[in-house]
Amino acid sequence: MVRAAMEGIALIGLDGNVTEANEEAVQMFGFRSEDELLGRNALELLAQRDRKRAMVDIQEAFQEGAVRYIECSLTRADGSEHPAEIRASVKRDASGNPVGFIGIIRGTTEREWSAQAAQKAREYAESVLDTVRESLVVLDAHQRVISANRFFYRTFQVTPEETEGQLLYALGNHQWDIPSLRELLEEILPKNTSIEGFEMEHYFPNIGRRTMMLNARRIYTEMNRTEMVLLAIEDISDRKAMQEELVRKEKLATLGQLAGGLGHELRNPLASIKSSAYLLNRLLEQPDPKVKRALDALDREVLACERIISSLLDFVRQRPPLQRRVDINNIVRQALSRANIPQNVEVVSQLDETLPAANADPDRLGTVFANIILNAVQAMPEGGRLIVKSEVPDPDWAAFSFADTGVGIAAENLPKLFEPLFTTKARGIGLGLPMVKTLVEAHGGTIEIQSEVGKGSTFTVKLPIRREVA
Amino acid sequence: MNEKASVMIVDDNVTLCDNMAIILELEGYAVSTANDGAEAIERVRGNPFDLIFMDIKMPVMDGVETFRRIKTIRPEVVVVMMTAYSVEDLIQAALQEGALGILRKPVDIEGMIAFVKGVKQDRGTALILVVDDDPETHNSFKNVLTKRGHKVGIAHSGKEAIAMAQEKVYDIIFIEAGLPVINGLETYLAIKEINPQSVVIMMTAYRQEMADLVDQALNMGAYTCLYKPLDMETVLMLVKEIWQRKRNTRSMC
Repeated sequence: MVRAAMEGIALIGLDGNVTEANEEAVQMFGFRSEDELLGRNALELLAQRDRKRAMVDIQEAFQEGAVRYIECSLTRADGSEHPAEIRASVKRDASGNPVGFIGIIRGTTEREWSAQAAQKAREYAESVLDTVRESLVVLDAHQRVISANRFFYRTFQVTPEETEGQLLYALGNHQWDIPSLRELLEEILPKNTSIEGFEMEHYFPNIGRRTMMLNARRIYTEMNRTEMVLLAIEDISDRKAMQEELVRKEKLATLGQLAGGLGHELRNPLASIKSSAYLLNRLLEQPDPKVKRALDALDREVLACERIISSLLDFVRQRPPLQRRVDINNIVRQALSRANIPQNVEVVSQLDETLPAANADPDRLGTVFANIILNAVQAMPEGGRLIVKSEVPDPDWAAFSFADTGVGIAAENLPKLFEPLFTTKARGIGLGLPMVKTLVEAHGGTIEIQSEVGKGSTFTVKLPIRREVA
Repeated sequence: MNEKASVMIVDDNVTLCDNMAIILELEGYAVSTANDGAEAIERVRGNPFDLIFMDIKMPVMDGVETFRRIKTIRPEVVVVMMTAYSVEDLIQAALQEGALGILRKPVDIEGMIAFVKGVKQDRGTALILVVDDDPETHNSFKNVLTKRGHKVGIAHSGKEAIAMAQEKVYDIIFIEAGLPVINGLETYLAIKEINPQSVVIMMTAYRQEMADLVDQALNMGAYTCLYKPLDMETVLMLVKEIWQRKRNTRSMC
């Protein structure tokens, strides 16, 4: 009778030792045979922490003669614990005297156990995934989102409700409908088990233009017999920007050595040419017009060489700014009046006259504004309008913007604008804007460019203006 | 000046040397040339030149060393250095030795002629106070400024500087921002009370640490701030700029 039972059953004598047990009980306790279980103290088969309570329960069962349910953990032969529910009732002989008790053990079965374990494992995994500072998305074979981690939702500012079950490409107004991502998931990944380090640049409506590094892995799940895709998305925009900054600095350093050496080396022969031209001009009282033209050309071109070399060397030799108490609006005005602005360019000046005085290097800021104005003018060969504006967006900063209605800058060129030697102009060595950036940064400021091809560009320089300390 | 100055050009760039000589001769000056330091020293023995233009970077003996040796023969010699290179160490050394100025190559010839014309003119002297606890800085200022006719007073502390400002009206005052006891800003503010006409230039080797203090000084009217190690060419440029402005306002009064 005992052996046929579906639950674990153990008979326990008055001394508390096991006298009989069925096969299920033997298995539940993790023993190989009944013999190993017999004679063991029943309390010792329970987890240490449960023993006291079990003892009380059993004593009460004896006194009341009722059935007691004991929830406890079993200590298995290998020392592991196994949650169980024990129904304890008193066993009596024919005359009604207690001879021991019967414990019917309903162990959480292997299946329940593994389901619980799986649940725990999943909770564990999810808590890990939710802590990871990288966006993770699990997709089914048809690129529908099964789930995503918290970082994903936070980064892309979407909710699980609007995400789960959706086609990845359809998410957030199709912001993920990116050709290179489709190619990765539909063409590259099916031919590989995993893809690592796939870089993707994209404009996301909520967070702007970002560079994402994608890692994708195909996972086959035994249980569902389907394939899933784990997609890890890391925003490397900042890291990339830092790397680019580093490359820029290295390029500058190399350029500096080269320019320094070359520029200086050229100045000696230039000095000879220049003084020779000057001397010829002095010695020839009434030169033939052709000779005069040639001499003028010499003068002019030597001057052009000098300017190129000077801009190169100024760029290389970066000295700390020589700060003065200045009205930056005045520096803008001066730069505008000194600039060679053609008739067909209309200048609209919107300077905020409440701009407080600031500590800055007037010469260098002048160079900054002159360069930006020159760029704007050159972007408008057919004429146009240049709007120059100063603002105080918050008490610590002043913003100076120069908006032209010129040809604009192609999106792919925008990130390269501040790289030394990058130029789209037929004439120019590509040092103007890198120098501008360096000078602005030396003032603790920033420079930004917004541009649209065919419409124009806006350069915005932000400079810190410290207030007087009371 | 009725008497035309005598000039020597020292440069291993023979073309430049000869061209400059001919141009200055056309202007009516007596000109000699030398193509290296040794030759220049030889020429100086026989002729007390009013002005020497000297290339700073020459083979065998550089311009600064040549200048030093020439000074042992003619201590009053006036030298203008020329350079195609950013040889900062040599440039600073030349200024410390008392070089009148630095001309960058390719030399602006009109500027050079103006230099020669002006060399014998009275330059006028500014009264300058240097407030710093670092003796190196005292020496730099003394070397560079006294050789150009300026008078240089030295204060080792803010307290001493304030006392000196009560005695004399200084035209230009250089103050180290990080002075002990009474710091540079406090010193400046105290002096400003005593003599608001003094133009004050702050100095510091600690750009980041002193940023707030320097900012406040500029807000209160300090002229500018120089960062150490000092570029004496900038110091000279500033002194010239301030001095000329002061002289102009004075002559207008």
